[in-house]
Order: sequence, then C-alpha cells, then structure tokens
Amino acid sequence: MYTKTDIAALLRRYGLHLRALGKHAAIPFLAVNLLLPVLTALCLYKSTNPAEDMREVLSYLRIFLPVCCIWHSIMIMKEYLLGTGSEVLFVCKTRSRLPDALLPFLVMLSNSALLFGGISLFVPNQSANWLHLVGVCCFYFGIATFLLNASRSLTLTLMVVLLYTIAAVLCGDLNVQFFPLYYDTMSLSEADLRLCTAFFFLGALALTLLGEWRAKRNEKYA
Amino acid sequence: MLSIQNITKTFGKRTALSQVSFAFDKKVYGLVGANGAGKTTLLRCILQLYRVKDGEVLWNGKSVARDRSFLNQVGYLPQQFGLYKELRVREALALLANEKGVPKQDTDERIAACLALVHLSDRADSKVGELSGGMVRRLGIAQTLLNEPQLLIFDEPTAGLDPEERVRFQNIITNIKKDRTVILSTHIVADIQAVCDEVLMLGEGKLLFHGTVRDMTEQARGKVFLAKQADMTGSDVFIVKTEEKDGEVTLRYLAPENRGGSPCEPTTEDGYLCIQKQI
Amino acid sequence: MSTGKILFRLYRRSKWMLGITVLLFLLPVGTIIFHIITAGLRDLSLIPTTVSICSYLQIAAMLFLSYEFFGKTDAAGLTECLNGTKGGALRLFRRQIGCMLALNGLLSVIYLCIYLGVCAFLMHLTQPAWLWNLTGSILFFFFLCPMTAVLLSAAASLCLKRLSAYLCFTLFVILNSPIKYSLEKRLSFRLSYPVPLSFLFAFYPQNLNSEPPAQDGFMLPETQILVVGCWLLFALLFLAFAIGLRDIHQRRRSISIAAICAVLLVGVTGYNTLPYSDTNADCQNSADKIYLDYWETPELAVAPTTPIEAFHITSCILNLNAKRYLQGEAVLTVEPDNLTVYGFTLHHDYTVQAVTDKNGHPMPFLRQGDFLTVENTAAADGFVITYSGANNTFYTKRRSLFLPGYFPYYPMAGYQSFFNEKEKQLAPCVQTEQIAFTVHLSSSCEVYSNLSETAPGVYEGMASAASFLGGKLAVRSIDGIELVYPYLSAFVQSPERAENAVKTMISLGLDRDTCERILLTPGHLLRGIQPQSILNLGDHLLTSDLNDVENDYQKSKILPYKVSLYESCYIYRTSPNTFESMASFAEDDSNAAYLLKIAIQEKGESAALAACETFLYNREDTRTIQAFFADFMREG
Repeated sequence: MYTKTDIAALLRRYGLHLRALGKHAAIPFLAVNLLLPVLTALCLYKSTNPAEDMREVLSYLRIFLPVCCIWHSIMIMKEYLLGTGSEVLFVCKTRSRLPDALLPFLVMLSNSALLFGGISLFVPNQSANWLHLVGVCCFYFGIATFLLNASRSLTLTLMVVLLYTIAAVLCGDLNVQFFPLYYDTMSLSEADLRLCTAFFFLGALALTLLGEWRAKRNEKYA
Repeated sequence: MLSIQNITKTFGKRTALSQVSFAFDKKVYGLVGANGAGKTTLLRCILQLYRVKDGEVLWNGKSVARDRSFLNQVGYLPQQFGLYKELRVREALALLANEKGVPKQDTDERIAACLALVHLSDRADSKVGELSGGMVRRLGIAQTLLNEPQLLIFDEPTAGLDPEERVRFQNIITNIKKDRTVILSTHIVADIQAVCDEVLMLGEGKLLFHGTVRDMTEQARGKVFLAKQADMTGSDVFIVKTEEKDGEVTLRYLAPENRGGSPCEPTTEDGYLCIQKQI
Repeated sequence: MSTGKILFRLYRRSKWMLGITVLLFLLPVGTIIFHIITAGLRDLSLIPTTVSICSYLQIAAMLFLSYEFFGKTDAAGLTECLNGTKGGALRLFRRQIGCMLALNGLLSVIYLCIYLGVCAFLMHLTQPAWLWNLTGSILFFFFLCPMTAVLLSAAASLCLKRLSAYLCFTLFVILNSPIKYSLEKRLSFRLSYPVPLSFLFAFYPQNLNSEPPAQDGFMLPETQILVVGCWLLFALLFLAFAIGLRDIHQRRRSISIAAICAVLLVGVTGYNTLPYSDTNADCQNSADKIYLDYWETPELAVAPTTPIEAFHITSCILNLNAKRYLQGEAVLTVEPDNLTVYGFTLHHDYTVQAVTDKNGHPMPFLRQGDFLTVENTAAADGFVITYSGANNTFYTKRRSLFLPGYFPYYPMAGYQSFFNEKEKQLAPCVQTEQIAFTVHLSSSCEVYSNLSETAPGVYEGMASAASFLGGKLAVRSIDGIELVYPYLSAFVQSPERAENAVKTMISLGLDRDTCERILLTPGHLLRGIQPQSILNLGDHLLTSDLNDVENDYQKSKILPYKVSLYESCYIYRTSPNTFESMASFAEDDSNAAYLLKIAIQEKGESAALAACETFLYNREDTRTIQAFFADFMREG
C-alpha cells in the first residue's frame, strides 16, 4: 500500500517528469484550459438553444479530452520503456510504473472535470455525459498502457490511439455505435449510460491489467 | 554479500548463461568476455531485470527473487545511459534519487556529494542533453551512488571514453570501492589492470576463469612468443600483434609451444586471450 | 540485391509497421464486406462514402508509417554515412520515397480492381467515360492523396523531431476530419466571417452527414484535386528546402525547385480563393447556407411594398454560361408591354450588372433582396438583363449542375417569395403561364432538361419553367416518360423500383402527354423544399427519390402552400392520435390541423374532408388555408 511518503515521492516525481517533457508538457494543459473553453464559449455564448448547441460541444470534447488525458501518461511511460538506459529505472523496489502513468491521467481528468463543471453552469444535467466521458478516457488509458507495454513502440501506440479516435468519429457520423466505438454528438440519457460506461470501465481495467502483466514479463531493454 | 548459484538463462533456443555460480566479496570484480559471452545477461539476472527460472541470486543469504528490497542496495549503470535530456543535471539526479527511494531531506546533500565525486558540480545546472559523452557517463556514475549502495554494477562504463575520462573513471572507482562490491563489465584490459581486484571471465555463457589479474596474466606464461614471420613453423598459433620494420615482419603470438622465436613476458591481455582461446 | 528490395526488407522487419500495412491491405476487403452487409454490392451510392473513409484512413496511416520508415535509416546512422558520398543520401531518400509510393500504388491497384470489377462485371457499366471517372477517382484517393502524405512525412522526417512531427500529423488528421466542417461552420457563424484558408483542409471531402451530389459521379472533385495540389507543392517545397539545407551538392537545384513550387503554390492557392471559384469548398457543403441567408436576413424574401401590375413573360431567351459560376443574359419579352414598372424575382445571390431594352438602351433598376424592379422608361416590350453569381444549393460547376425551374436563377415575372418566413421553409416559385424558352447553355457536363435539345447546348420549348440537371446521368424510358437519374442512384441496382414508381404515378393521373420527363435531383437539396418531395412543374417532375410515390405524387398535385392541410387530412385518416397531438400543438389559425379539427367538430367529418379535397386539388383556388376555412365555416 502507498504510504504518505510514497505519495509525496510520486507527486515530486510527477513534477520532474513534466519538466522532463519540455515544452510538449504544456500541450494538453493548453488544450484543456484554453482551446476547449474557447471552442465551448463559441458554441454556447448567447446560444438560444444551449441543449442543442451542447451537441457540438460534446463532439469536440469527446475527441480531444481522451487524447489530452493520456498524453502525459504516454510520454512518461515512453521514457520508462524506450529511454536510453531506462533499465536503471527498473532497478528499484517496484517494477510497476502504473502509478507514474496513472497520476498524470488523474490530474488531466480532474482538469477536465473543471471544464465540465464550467459547462454545467450553462447547460445543466451533464452528469451522464461526464460519466460516459470518464469511462471513455479510462478506456483510452487502458489502450495506451497496454500498447506501450506490449509493443514498446511509441509510434504504434500513438497511431492506434489516433486511428481509434478517427474510426470512432467516422462511425459515429454514420450512426454506428457499439463497444468500443463511443463517438456520438448526442447527449446521453441515464438509460444509455449504464451499459456503455460499464463496458468502458471494464475494458480499461482489462487492458491495464494486461499491460501490467506484459510489463512484468518484459525482458527487452533499450 | 552477493552470491549467484547455478544461474542458467535461455532466450528461446539460445542459452545465454549456463550454470554460472560465484560468491562475491567486497572487492572490485572485472567481468570480461567476448561479445555475446553473457556478461550483460548475467548482470541483468543479478538485477532481476531478467527472470531467473534456473538458479538463484542471493543477497546476504536470502534469495532476491522474493525480496526486491535488495535492489535498494544496488547502484547500476547500464551500457547506454542518457535519460531525461530535457532536465538539468541536478533535476535528473533528483528524479533518479526519487526513483531509488532516497528520502527527500537527504536528496540535495547526496546529489551534491555525488556530483563532487564525479567532478560535475560545475555542470549541475546544465541540461543533460548538452553534456558530452564523457560527462553523461559521469552523470551515470553519479546516479549509481545516490542511494549509497552496497553493490555497484557498471556495464562497460568506459566504452567510447577518451583516455582522460578513463583515468578519471578509474580514480572514481578507487575512491568509492571501500566496503562495497563493485562489478565492472568491460572489454578494456587497462581498466581491469588498473582497478580490479579479481577477474571473472565468461565464454559462451560459462564461467571460464576467476582469479586475480595476476592469475589471469600467469595463464599465458610460457605461451607468448616473439618471432620473425620467416622463422614461424606450425599453424596452431594465435597472432596477437604484427609489426613491420624495415621490410621485416615480426609476430607476437600465443601457442602451447614455441613455434619459432623467443618467449616473452605475458601481459594481462595475453592471459585473457589464452583463456578465451583455450591455449 | 537492389536497394529497393533491401529497403522493403527493412520495412517488413518492423512487426508493427508490417501489421498496420497488412490492415491497410485488408481494408478493401472490409469495404466489400461492408457493402454486402449494408446495401448489397449493386448499390453504388455507398461507394463515395467508403472511398472517402478508406482514403482518409490510408492518409493517416501513411503519415506515420512513412515517417517511421524514413526515420529508420536515420536512427541507424546510415544517412549520416551516406552524407559523405556525393548524392548518396539523396539517392537513398529517393528510393525510400519510391518504396512508399510503390506500396500506395499496390493499394490503389487493389481498390481499382475491386471497384472496376464491381462496376464492369456486376453492374455492366462499361461506358468508357464512366470507367475513366471511376479510375481517376480511385487513383486520386488511393494514390495521389496518400502520396502527398508520404511526401509531407518525408519532409517532416528531415526537419522535425518525432514528437513535433506526430503533433503536426495529429493536427493535420483532425483538421481534415469530419469535425472540421462543424467547427468551421460554428466559427464562421460566430465570427461572421469565413475561416481563412479552411479550404486547404479538405482531404476528407465532405461531412458524412451530407450526401454528395449523386450526379457528380464517382468523386473526382476539382476542389480536392487543387487542395491536394497545394499540399503536394508545399511538401515538395519543404522537401527541396530541407534537402538543400542538408546536402550542399544539391543546394542550387533544390532552391530552384523550391522557388518553382512556391510560385505554383501561390498561384494554386490564389485560384482556390477566387470568388465564385468552382473550386471553392464553400460550394460543396453549404446546403444550409441558403437557409442561413434567409434566417439572418428575412427581408431578402420580402417583396417591395411598391405595388406593381401583373404581367407575364411570353418569351425568354437565356444565354447561360454555367461552367464555373452562372453568367446569364436573359432576353425577356413581356405582356403587356406598356407598364411603367416591372417587377421580377431573381435570387439575391445573382448580381445584376445591367438592364437594357432590346436595343441596348439602359433602364433604371432597383435590386432589393430577391427582387428586381425595372422602370420601363423606354416603353420597351422587352428587357435584356445581364447578371452573374453563384448559389451553393442550386449550383453550376464543371462536373455537374442543378438549376431547377422553381428556383429563380433567371428573372421570373412578378414578386415571388422564395422563402416562407412564417413556416421557415423554402417556397418553390411555381408558375403556371407558358413561356417560349430558348436557352443557350454552355456547360462542361452532360445536361438534361425538360426542354428539348434542338442543337448542342440549345434547349427550346414551351414550358412554365426551365429546369436543368447536369452530370453523370442516365436516361430510361418507362411507358413514354423519361426518367433522368444519376448513375450512382440506387435505381441502378433496382430498375424495377423505378418502373413501379413511374407506373404508380401514371395510375394516379400522371399525364404522359403533358409530363414528359422526371428528373431525379440531389436528395439533400430538394429536402429543403418541404414538405414536398415531388414537385410538379407541368411538363416535368422534379423529385429526390421515388420511395413513397403514392403519397408524394398526390402532394405534388397541390399547390405547395396547401401541403400542410393535405398532411393534416392524411394523418387524420391514418393516425388519429397523432392528429390530436398536431391539432393541440398550436391552437390558432396558423395550425392547419387545428382548423381542420374545428371544422370537423362544427360541420362533420365527411363534409369537412370533402371540402378540403376540393380545395386542395383545385390549383386555381389560391385562397389561403385560413381564408378557405373561414369561408367553409360561414357556409350554411
């Protein structure tokens, strides 16, 4: 179990990891705190039908937020798995890098929650959409950690994430929705929510556990 | 104290290590062998980077497979090191110290001490990406010492370094080796001669030799000869060096018996070659 | 072993690259399965959509795969080794590009075989023009577009580090995705200004939610060709520049190539931004724009208050150039010819350059919204009106055109509102007087009209309106009535549907002597002319589909503004519960269902419905629905 010291160490590590990413670290923060609020404002400001315009807001959020949430996790994991001499990082008490990947994801998710909270001031009753989005973000996290651990390739991971997003958007436009395709511009009702969100959370869990299992068995180092 | 017992490691059909056993003491060990002999594999097995199914690695009598806390006592420098190029030297060491579980209150002090030891204090605020190859390697050495380990493992630490850096490295090892087990995997014989108390030689996954440097050198006694090419007889010789002067070719060779020429004083390299080639 | 083979081996050695490439090769198979599952192989109308999706995925994959492939030799230090030789690195680079192009070439051959096979062997579509169109389309989408992605990637591999390159690629893919269109629409709506250079991100041709105009045939849109041309030139410029920086031996040549590319790029970009440009992406996806204009500026459809006397046009000679945008000259003969003021309706998207009499004397005129008021100062019996412009919904392009007779693309007599402000719907301008039309139409595509083509590009006849439909069309004669439809329409696969539909209409009273042609028009466009999906213009019908022919044809027999009453009667008969909801939706004069409900309550069901029937099918009865019910309730 994580002690207070461990958590403090994790947080310090997180800060240093962000610095290690250089200027690329700012991209998700800028996207979530600048780009998406601006797009949202353009959609909702002086809107005569906020519920209808919310569809367009959801169309952007459902594409950008999951990718932004996992961006830091991928970049940090990349250093662990693909950095020159990264085996040094595995010569320590715990082999699992999952907490280092999970923390940035949770931070970005919390950041996104602030954005959603702001949106809720203009368009109430967004809890179903938010829960769905959290499920989808978790699924993205699962995909990313599994692929990085299994393939040890940043390119493949980014490509699959991008192609999955594109496929979801294209199929959503064609009104084809089934797990794991999630994209839709419609607001979700409570009834729609239960099944699809469960799938996403379960999928995320399965993929993350698979990724961890694969990581433990890894014997390839840079 | 580190001890390895009957370690065998295979990758698919290829056996990288076969029944390697040894008990390490608080000395500096040179781990030598040809390319593909299994040196890095052995080090990674010790460090639990590879799962060891056959054999055991013991630390102070306890198997490390069940207790990973042994790794807190280890400092490791891999063959290639170059993490966190965007961070400053101080920040990179802070991150590595954090990974190794160094308490926060001790981090700054340890970083300063390690940097001083490797003579990088003046570059503490430079970015890792801006350092030269030798400086990066020194940084790598510094990070191995952050957690004040009992066991230090260096995998080809001086490959690609200039003579000055190599001498610097040798001096660092001399300074830090007190009450520690240091394992140095290297091809460079001069490093072995300069700092190693004992030598372990691997060949095709097996432990071919262990002993002092002198013992290794003695392996070649009576087997090293210097002769003119024209005077050479027999073909079961291993030519160590060829010199041409005034049109005349002189050979320094290893052979079980004199095949022409006169015997000469063996060097550590000769000893290494004799063991490798089973002369 | 040749360098090409070695490079292919290098490519194959990376498992994941190979895996994704295999998936790309499986995509054509997937599309066939998709076609079979969704609509059957014989329905060609889905092909543009599947081509768009597959091409888009291929472009996205090629960006990353190419970058990684080019990066492999860099990482191995091979490029650095070859930099020491004269032109060695450049040769290697060329061969790498060649490998990726060969890969794309192979993919495009596979798609070509599949789609040509379907068209030629299953559908027996073997006309050369048609097959060339398909071939060009496939090569464009599966070779030229991915090739552009490969070259962009090649340039990025020379100049950008991996993370920066990936970010650029991700941005490129997102900006070319379907969400780009909604984003663009929203931004230009809020900013009241079109998003600059947004046309450049049109690799994915259109939003999936809007159907491509079927008469465009298989897509080989000029817009996309020029956009891709822009990116190709940009990639070559970038590449030449980057190579010039790296290889001193190639510097002079590289700079020359870069300069030529830059000039061409400026030229092509400039051409793309020309107003009314045929390549302007605005033409493609702006079915909403025609509404937006009226929503924002409803006075465009409000007739001037100055009263005018009624007149009609006896002869209309139109000289139309419909190649890029519409340039027209209308020579109108009017009757009576002694009025001081004549009012015409001409859509506000057309700018009137001049109004003269037939002798060339200029006449003063006033343009207000959709209306043109001309002062007959020279006591002329006719006018020559010169105008030009472009409308995005009723459009003229190189590949196709759609100028229906209910749309005022030529000056129509009187003030007719094309937009019903109360119901927020387009209101087709339907005229009943016969006009002697002579139309000289200059266009780049094959054109069909309700008028007879007496000479190439010359259409003549007596009709109440002149409709033109151009593009990849076919004609079938069914019981003496010609059905003009796009090759890509679903009727290609099901000729029986077309026959049954036309025969149904004949049985419902379609007069073969009067109505000679049925033009199957772009679906998403005619959807705007609610609530009718068949429009009867006397000698021809315009329709977007022939699915619910019985109901639609009955509606077409009544004047458009009466359709809400027709639907109320229909729903009353078929679904009483729904009728109740309709009636209670708004309990006032504006709701035809409510008025019908009151009439049934007061006068009885059979009397009310019979009166409605008479009113609906009498095209001479031009009372409003409210006036009709008021009169009906007053009757004893």
